[in-house]
Amino acid sequence: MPLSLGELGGAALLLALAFSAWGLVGGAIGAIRRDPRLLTSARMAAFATFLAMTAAIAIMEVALLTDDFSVSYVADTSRVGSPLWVKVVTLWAALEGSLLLWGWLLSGYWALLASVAPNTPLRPWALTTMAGVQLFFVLVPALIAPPFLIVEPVPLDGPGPNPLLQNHWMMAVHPVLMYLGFVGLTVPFSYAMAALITKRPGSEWMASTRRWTLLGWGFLTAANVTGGWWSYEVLGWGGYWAWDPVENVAIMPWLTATAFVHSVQVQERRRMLKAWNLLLIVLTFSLTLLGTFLIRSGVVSSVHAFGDGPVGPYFLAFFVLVMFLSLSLLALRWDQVRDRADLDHPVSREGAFLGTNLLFLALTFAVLLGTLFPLIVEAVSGARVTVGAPFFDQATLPLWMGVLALMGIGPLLPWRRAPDQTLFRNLAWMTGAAVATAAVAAAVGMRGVYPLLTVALAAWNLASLALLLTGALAARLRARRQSVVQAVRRYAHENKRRFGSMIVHFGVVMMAVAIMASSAYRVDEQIRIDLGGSTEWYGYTLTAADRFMDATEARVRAGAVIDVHRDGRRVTTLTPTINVFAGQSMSVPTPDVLYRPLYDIYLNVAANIGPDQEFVVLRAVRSPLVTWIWVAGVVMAIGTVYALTPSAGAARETRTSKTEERAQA
Amino acid sequence: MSVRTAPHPVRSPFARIAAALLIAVGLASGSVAAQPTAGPGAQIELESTVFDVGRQLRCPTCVSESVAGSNSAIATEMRSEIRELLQEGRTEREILALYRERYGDWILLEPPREGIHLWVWALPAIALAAGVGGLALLMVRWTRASRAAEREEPLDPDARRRVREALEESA
Repeated sequence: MPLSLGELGGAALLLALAFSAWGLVGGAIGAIRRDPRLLTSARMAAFATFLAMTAAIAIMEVALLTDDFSVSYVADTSRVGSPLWVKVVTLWAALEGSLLLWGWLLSGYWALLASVAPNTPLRPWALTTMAGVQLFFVLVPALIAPPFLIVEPVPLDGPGPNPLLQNHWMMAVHPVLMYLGFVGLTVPFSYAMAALITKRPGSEWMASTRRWTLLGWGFLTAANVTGGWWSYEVLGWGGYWAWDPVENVAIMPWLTATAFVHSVQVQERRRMLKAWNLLLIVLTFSLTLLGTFLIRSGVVSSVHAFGDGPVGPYFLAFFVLVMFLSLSLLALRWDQVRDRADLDHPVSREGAFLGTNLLFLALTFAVLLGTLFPLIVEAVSGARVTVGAPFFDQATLPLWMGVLALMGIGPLLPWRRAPDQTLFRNLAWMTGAAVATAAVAAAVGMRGVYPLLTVALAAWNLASLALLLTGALAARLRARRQSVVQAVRRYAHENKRRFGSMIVHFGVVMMAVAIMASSAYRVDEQIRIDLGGSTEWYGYTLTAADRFMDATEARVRAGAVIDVHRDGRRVTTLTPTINVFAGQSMSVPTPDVLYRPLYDIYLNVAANIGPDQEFVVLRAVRSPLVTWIWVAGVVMAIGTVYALTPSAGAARETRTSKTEERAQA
Repeated sequence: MSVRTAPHPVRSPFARIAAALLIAVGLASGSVAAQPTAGPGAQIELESTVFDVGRQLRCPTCVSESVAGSNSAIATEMRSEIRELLQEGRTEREILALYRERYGDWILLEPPREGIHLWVWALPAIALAAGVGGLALLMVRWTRASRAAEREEPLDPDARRRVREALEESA
């Protein structure tokens, strides 16, 4: 009898288990004994693990695409009638498969690191740490949540994936981005551990992982934005962020990673904050584990229910182990990582970075507390409490405002100490822009502290970006005869990291304004339209032209056909729909959206649509500027990619930026 | 360790019926159909208030959604109830109090600022204050050392600057 796919997949995982275990043990022994042959062999284990994990993924995809229901994961989550793309992404539609994907992506990073990392004293221990993390992420699919169990007798069909996940193509993108982010931040964590083990806590480990860190951060950012867009397109309430536990555990590592991306620069330039940076990366990595524990163990309930499984306690144990080992290591090396007192003045670039760090940590704390509070209270007193969106909004908004304020001032401050005159001139411009904008906004009828503060801070930041750019260009324009466009292009080309950060910051400003407008000026209405009748909705005429019901093998759906007119001209036809997927009892909405730069028309079916029913009930949402959130996400991604692209002459870049700084100071 | 939260008990008979409806039909339609056809103006304002109130209430049978966010039967029912209460002239505050009486503190998405809930409001503020205080202390200590070094500096400032720049350049 030929081997079944389940057996082959299980075998591939066992091979990966053996290889990653060797990567850990062989790597550690090799690093201690400084044995180059052992180290090479442990490096090869990275490639071998990657091959074995790739085989496991390929086998699972084959099983999914060929409807091999003898494989337990396929039997639990797939269906014969699903479309091809749904079958492909079913790989990460449930717990076992998505952890397999995590393990595979991690092995890819490990193998990549093993092949491109320069041979420094840090490399052996960095690769060994990667191997240790990898071992856990192979152990989970191999033993704890196995996707390759053999099902006997073989079922003819399965229930299909979670309906929320087969309803939008974004599901093919968002989880992968999230895992790429989590996995990407494992690299700086591994180098941090290597730096502690080898007693080299200087900035060497950061210099080696600068690109990896930024890459991981970029993926996390993109993952959170695409998650928001998925929520907007699928959940049917017209929002994109609900402070749901799953969203909270996804944003927490992003918050600490953002703090980390900024504070590494302080250590690179000023040799300060050694211990702090190590702590931040440990925290970031641990939070990805804690988050996975929280949502996979069912201790917190979430609307993004991906099914819980047996892995919770293991993630908790791994979280505790990682925290214990890395913090003990940090304590052991305390003498080397302690900062010497060397801050010239609080009003300086490093001072601003310290403030930003504090704000991001406070944000992380508020989100973590809000997420865990119901658990803690229930454990202590048995009382059931709820901590919902209004709490998170109120607790985090002042901090976000602080972040925006510092984001404007920080990049303008020179390192060490700001000369009073330049500082006051810059501040005068920025404050002027902020006050003028807030005054205009108030004059056109904008009310409320946070909306006004947000537009003021947006102007403050735009002024800051303009000042940064003119400051950098003025010297160039004076020195060489070139056009402004040429100068900007040359500056952008020669200072990729700095210019990339400006693009990202611009994206943040866009996003802040869009979030403010879409939440503070949001309008919800439940409207009933008789068939053939119409209603006015913010300048548009919505006409209920028809309703429909149809059934395919994969799903039953019912929906309304709404013609949208503006000034007598037909704009579009929206068909908000409600679906029940085969094999599932839950109904899932598919809202339909007319995307517009000022405000979207968002329609969702709000009540049953029956054959003898002569009206449709819809939920209409108008949230201004919401589209700009997704645009801002793209801008941030572009900025990150720009900062990541290698500069034409890296040496020249540092030289020019230094001269510039001197010119500025 | 991993205690799975049981589906939250539904207390009022009204809610229990609604929950049964949810399972049977998937969506409620009855009370919604009775609602008068929406017109512009005051109607939009009323509707927005309904959702504003809904955003502060937890949908009792949902996993983690608000009454405004959920499309479930009970959330739709609760929105109609809120609409009726608003039409009767009740204020937002009164409606929230009503639901709090019926379901307990648990129904409020914004924890009340009293009792055990005080902790969730106070701790972030305390943590931030501690962070600001700690950072300020550290900054004073760090800058004091550099100020002292400056005072005792035997070199003239210009020479010092050149040494520093040379150090930075080599780093």
